[in-house]
Amino acid sequence: MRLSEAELEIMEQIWKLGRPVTAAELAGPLQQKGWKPTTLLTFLARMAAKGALEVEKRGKQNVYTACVSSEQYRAAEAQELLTKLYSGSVKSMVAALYDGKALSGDQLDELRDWLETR
Amino acid sequence: MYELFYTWLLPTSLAGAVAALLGGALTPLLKRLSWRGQRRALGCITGFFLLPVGPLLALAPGLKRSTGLEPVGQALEQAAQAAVHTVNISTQPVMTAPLAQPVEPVQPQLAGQLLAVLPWLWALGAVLFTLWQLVGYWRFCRALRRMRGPLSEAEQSLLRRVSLESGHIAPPKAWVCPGMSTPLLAGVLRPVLYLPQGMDEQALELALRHELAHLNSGDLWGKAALRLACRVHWFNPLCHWQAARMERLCELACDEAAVRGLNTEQRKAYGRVLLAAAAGPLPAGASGMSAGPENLKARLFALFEQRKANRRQMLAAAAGVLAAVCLTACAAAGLSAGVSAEPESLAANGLEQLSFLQQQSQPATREAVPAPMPEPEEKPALAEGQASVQWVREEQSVAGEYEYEQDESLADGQYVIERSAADGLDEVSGWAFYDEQDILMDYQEVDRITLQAPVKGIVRYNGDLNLVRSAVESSEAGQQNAADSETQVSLIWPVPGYTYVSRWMSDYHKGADVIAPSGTQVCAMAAGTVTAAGYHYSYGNYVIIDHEGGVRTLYSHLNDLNVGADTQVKQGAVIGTVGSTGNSTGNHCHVEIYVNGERRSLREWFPEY
Repeated sequence: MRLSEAELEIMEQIWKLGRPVTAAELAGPLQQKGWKPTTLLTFLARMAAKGALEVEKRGKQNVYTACVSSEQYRAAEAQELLTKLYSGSVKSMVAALYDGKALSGDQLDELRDWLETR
Repeated sequence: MYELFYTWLLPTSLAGAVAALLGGALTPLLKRLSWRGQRRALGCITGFFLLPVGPLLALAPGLKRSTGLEPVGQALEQAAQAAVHTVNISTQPVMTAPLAQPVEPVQPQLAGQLLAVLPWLWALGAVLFTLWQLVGYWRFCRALRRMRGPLSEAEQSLLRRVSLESGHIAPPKAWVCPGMSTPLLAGVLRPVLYLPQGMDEQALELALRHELAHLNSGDLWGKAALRLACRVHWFNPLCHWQAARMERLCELACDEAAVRGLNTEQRKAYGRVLLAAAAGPLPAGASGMSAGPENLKARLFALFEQRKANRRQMLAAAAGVLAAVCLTACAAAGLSAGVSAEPESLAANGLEQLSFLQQQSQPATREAVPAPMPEPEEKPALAEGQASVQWVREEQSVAGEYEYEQDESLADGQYVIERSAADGLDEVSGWAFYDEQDILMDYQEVDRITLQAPVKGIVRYNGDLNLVRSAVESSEAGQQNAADSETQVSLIWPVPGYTYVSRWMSDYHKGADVIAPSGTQVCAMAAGTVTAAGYHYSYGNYVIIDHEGGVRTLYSHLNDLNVGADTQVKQGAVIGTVGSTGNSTGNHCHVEIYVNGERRSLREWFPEY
């Protein structure tokens, strides 16, 4: 999941408020952006489609809840960037616990079972 | 560049490959050693990729050359010479003639071109690979620096404790970085530890033990050295194989150090951390080359293994490694002894030394020149008007002719002198008839001996034959005159059947190396007196001839000698044959020329050879 710059700004407001919010609540702090109400709603819908937000219909209003925490999102973003940069040439210049191929679930389960029998 | 590649790099790469193979063969001997011991043993062997042992040993004086690898070395040397030769040809200035437009005299051969290109290909590869690696590493480190944050109190105290336990009073510089699954150590000069965010404390402790073991054994330096070897020997698969093997051993040795003193339950926990790391995306994943499950399985097995080699096994392993190192060193030295070109510096004392050696030299017995016909007993009858008849003997110069071959592939008006013509020399005997005033009336040739056969020149041309002919002949004549006017002696090329000149005189080399097959005739460049003929430790079988006008020539590395000291030789007389005696690595004739005691380059007389 990757949020655009504008989406991230909206997300940061939601994280700051730290509770389920409505579009009207977000419009206030984001006023200086000069967005039309429909623009904001479009962004929110898109973010919900990406899985960043959870939508709940409460009467006439939609209430939005963040699905990922700020830390989770940053970690994921960092991981994405580092993975992109972490090529074989980098691997040979740093030392880590394990730097081979990532193992599949089956392979891991097999080794885990073996380990537990020791 | 050519020397770097052919006499330093290739032998080192070969020696490294030999060492790597021997290291592979040692596996059964090393198996009982601890991982740390194995890493040390293989580390010694890997050193052959980085240390040019062979070329260095070859520089040492008095080295025995008896390993049977010289042919490989000589092949390398010849490759280097061919490469240099090719380059020399292609960089030679194009001849200018008044009427026609010549091109370079010899077309460089494909093999030579290839040999000339290889070193540059290697350099390009090494530079590109290194740049690619450094740029990738720099970008990765920049991203880490941008995202890192300070450690929490708990993490700091944990790091301090684990550091102390692994023998570090001051813990390494450490940061927290999101997006990683296990700690990571980066930087050779100032190693920095990056910890993952939100890792379980027990797991973090075990992972830290591993990282600090890396730090303790200087693995980042080791890895840097391996990288360097892989970049320099990027074309050598055995180098990559050896590096991968070393890296595997590194990890195993660090596991061994990390779980030292831990009980089975703790070892199991360490195994779980390892598995979690292998499941996580970073630093796992991404690399295409490293082994996957097999590698991890071996590491897990190793956690519960007790490796205790007894004394005998240790000794056997040590002896095995020592033997491998010695064997490789000998092979490398033998290889490079063949490669190392004639160290002519040994012969630098040159003629002074030779004149001393002259007394000990064994003169050869064979006659240099075929005997001319003796004067017949019976004189021919005189014709009318003739008063006397005399037997005369004289030398006649025989002009070397040019043969012209039409070559459609050349542009119109262009020509290529494939081979320069050289004059021959005949000894002619016959009767001369004189009248009463001693004026020559008639001459009858009776006998003709070829002292030196003329060399037929070959010219390929396209276009008007007459124009080309006059251009070739006038340029030849001009050349002769230029050389002659300087020394008053006309010199002929000493090895008519030569292949090419591998190097001319330079600051580092006292003469011209004329390459020719063994047994090719070597001729006196001018008439003169042999002042020395014999054997010299560096020159091998050699001949020195003094000519008129203070000119002295030296011919060395000959196979056999036709002349002895004090033999009078005619120009073109065959004084010996080409060989590879003395300090030489291939069949060639090393020719030096001195005018009034001053060493000169043969190229002044023979610019086109």
